[in-house]
Amino acid sequence: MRELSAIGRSALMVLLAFVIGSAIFVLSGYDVVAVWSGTFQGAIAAPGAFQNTIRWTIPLIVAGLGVLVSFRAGFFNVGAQGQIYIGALCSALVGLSVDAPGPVVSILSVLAGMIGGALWALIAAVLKVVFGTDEVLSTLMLNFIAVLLVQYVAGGPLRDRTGSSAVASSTAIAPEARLSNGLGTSPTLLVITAVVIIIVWAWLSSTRSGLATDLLGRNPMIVRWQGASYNRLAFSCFGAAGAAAGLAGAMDLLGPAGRLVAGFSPEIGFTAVLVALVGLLQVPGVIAAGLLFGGLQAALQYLPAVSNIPRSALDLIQGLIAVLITLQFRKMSLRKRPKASPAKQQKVSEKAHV
Amino acid sequence: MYEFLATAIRDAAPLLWVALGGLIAFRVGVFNLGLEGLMAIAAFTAVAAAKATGNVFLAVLLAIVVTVLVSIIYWACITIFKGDVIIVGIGLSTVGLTATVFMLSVLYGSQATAVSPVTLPDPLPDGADVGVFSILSGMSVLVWLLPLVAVGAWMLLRRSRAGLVMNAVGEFPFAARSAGQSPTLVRLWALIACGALVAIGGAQLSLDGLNSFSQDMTAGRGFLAFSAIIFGGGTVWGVVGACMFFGLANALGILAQIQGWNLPTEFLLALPYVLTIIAVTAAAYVAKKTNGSLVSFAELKD
Repeated sequence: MRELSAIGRSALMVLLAFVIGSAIFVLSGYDVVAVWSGTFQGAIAAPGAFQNTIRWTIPLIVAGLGVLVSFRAGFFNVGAQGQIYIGALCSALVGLSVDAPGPVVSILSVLAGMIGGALWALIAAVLKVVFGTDEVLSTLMLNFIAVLLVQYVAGGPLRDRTGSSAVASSTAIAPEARLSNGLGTSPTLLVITAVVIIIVWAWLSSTRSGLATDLLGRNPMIVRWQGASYNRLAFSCFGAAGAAAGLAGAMDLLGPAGRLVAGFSPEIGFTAVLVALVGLLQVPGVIAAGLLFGGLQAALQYLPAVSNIPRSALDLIQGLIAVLITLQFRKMSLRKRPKASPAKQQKVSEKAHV
Repeated sequence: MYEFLATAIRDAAPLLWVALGGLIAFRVGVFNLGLEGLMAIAAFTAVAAAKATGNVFLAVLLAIVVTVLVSIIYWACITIFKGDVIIVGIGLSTVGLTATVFMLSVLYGSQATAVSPVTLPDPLPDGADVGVFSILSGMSVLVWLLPLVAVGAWMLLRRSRAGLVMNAVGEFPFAARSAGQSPTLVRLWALIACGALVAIGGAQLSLDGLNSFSQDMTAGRGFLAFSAIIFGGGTVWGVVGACMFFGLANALGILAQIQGWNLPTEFLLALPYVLTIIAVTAAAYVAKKTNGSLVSFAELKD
């Protein structure tokens, strides 16, 4: 029952974001019916639309599951963005330099992406464990650094000198090593995504360290009393989250992108955090939220062709969801109330997790 | 040399307005990551109002009103509705950046840039030669006001009763509450002040020199201002120093490009973020060593 109400609340917030967005569109003089039917067309109904939705859903689910793992453990790693970028960067470095048959390059390149993403996330983990640095700030700052690093590498050392493109980008990955064509969906990518879903689900629900991870987010003290190592759990959670995000970056590079482009996915990393939150930090929830945001992202590209509404309109909806998703309407009172005792707060946070 | 310093000051001025606003929010325990969005809203409103009214003072005033209103919504989200400060803040930045681009195309069609017919007044005309002050020639009155505002912010936070209450709310809201202060209300006033200062920073960005608003105009300056607060250790003079430092780093980057030095600009641009991580780490380490909390983190603790 509690779970149902949590799902209801999450759905309500998303709905509220759409309602507020619609109100803004009406006030700006747009035909809301046309906007939403265009969004529906662009996400599902139009030819190739659903394929495009899946193209955006894949990285969102993979990176979102990584965010889920770290948030479950109580680490507010908002660095998926940077980890995706570093994943794509490492994947490109290997993919462009290794001279081997296609599948071998693919595998090495994907592994490099995962390792790169994991190492980037582990910077924040080491700072957290050794010095006590707040991970929200360190991962946020690492995002900016990673984006600049990719901009530098794509525009400098790896730059494609032959192309005349205005955007800095690297030379193209060999077609044999690609995981999909430019459309961004292929059996390989879908299988990788399914494997990631199964691994995360199985790890969290039925392994010792997965359960300890879940417990860590609720009560770190008990985890210590149970004899589990806080440091080891912190490293594995950050590492897993970074590896997942790095994998998403590698999949994007070897899939639809095909080359390292500066600023290639401005929104995916932050949207992945939203996907995890909207999905209530549950695996099925993340899949559902991934499809929702994937659909919005696909519609973004379709909408300007059929409606006069600018594409920033749907970005605005995503921002509104971010603003609304963590709000709680239960304690809607300005009255001064006594601070809840720690025991009571513990109960509340447990409730929120069940 | 003058030109180099002038470039640095021109770059640091909007940053400092925004950072001082963010500092006031920081002192009452609100890690305002919405600065980027607020700044974009202010910069856009200033230009839109300037186009509509043709009056630069009304433009700045309207920018303040709109930005303060959005700040109040942010306050309601994090205090009344208990939203997560960080997530709501980042969401606010997204909303601000996208809403301004959306309004840009709603109001001015497919134009990528809205140009303001008026500009902020300059106390010294461009190129005037008045000794040291010629560095500030061609800069708006809002740049000239900054030393006063910095001293004012310092007086408010360190030498006034209100500042004492604000610090108490930021450090230990429970104690402030038992002294009869309402942390919720103090945060409201602080976020209103923050919104006003950010609005002026945004207006300085769009109405001085460029006289226009375009997509991605803030270019991460809001997040940079937030970095300046952390790097400056949460004090007024630390923030002033951090903003000047970031301005100098940026001027150095421009100089490097002009001179053709082999120095990737991306590294200079990344410097503030690296320094912020180092500053936060140092503060956390000292706090851990002394068993106290030098940095009180974002969670609204009551």
